[in-house]
Amino acid sequence: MSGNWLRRNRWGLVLVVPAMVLALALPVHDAYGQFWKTAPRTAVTQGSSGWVAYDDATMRLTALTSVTHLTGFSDEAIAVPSGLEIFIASIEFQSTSPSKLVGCNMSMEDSTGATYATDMDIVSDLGVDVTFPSCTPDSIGKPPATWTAKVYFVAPAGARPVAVRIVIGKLLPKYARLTSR
Amino acid sequence: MTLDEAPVRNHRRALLADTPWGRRLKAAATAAAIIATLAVGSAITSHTPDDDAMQQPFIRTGAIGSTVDSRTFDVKLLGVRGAAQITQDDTVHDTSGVWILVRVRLTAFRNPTTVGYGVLRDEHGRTYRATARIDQFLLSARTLEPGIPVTGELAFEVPVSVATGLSIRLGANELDQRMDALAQIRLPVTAAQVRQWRAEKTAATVATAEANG
Repeated sequence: MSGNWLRRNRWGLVLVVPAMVLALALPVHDAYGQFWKTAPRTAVTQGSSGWVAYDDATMRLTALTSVTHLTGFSDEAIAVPSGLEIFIASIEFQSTSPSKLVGCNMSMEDSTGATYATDMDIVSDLGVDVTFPSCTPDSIGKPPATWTAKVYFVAPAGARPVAVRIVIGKLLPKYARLTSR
Repeated sequence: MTLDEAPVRNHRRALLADTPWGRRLKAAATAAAIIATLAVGSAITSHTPDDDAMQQPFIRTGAIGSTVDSRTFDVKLLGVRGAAQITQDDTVHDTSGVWILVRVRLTAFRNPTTVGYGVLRDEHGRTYRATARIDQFLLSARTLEPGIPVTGELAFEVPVSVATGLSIRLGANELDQRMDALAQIRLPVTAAQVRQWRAEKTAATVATAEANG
């Protein structure tokens, strides 16, 4: 390799370094972007009205309370097992196109950041008359102006819930974070 | 070398390159450089792990009674029993091998999770999936909530010849375990126990999943 060759190709050699950096960085950046969109990471919070605007709907948390007894299919009282705490969240929705909320995912967030799913296993194992958790109205036909979803969450005794999260898959990484006012 | 000698040396090099021997020497040097590059490349690729090796799951081991961390949940092996027949929903399932019923306690860490992957692994590395002949209450269908232990049994059907050298492996993802953490716990099973299980006439009832709080 002569000095002439180096002189002739000096700019090419200088440009090889940033070209290699770009060639390696772009796929990593793209892959990281795809990974970022797979989980709820960006909270959409409530405005001054107390409602959270998320996609074509608005929603708010009206109650998130711990219960000591639940009701079975024959209206009998069912005690909450020791070591567990069951919370019922009431969430109000408003939307002119509620079908967009089909398939939403609801979870409860506690003060440590842990999240809990709308647990059907534990609650239904207890014999509680529980409906499938859904963000859409029960009625068929023209949607009501406002409707309420009642959702059960199970957490270890002593958990302190702080919010309910609502996720629509196509909107990830954004999610609605509903807190009590 | 002084500054005055440099042009003389470059001139000699130019003269050498123009001769037949010089051209042969240059070609031989180029070939040697290519062969050396290929040899180094080959040495690097043969001494570094391939994709399969690099993407192996991370195995976290433990013993009966200990808690093993599997990234999104932890596992505690509570016990193991066996049978020649098992029953669920009034249906009896027999086997030409032996049923292994593994009692575990599973606890999710920070987010709801499911345990999708459950196998027994023998001493030769062969794996036996949890049987699909009955409902497995702990696998996939059951959501684990953070901090709430769920206890139950997993049922496996294995040949008698491997029953004394098994470990249970549990992970979150049913289909893809690459680079994921798997909990692995050795099952303390003796040959005498296997013989006793095979001789047992009563079908064993597989325990359902139960949240313990």
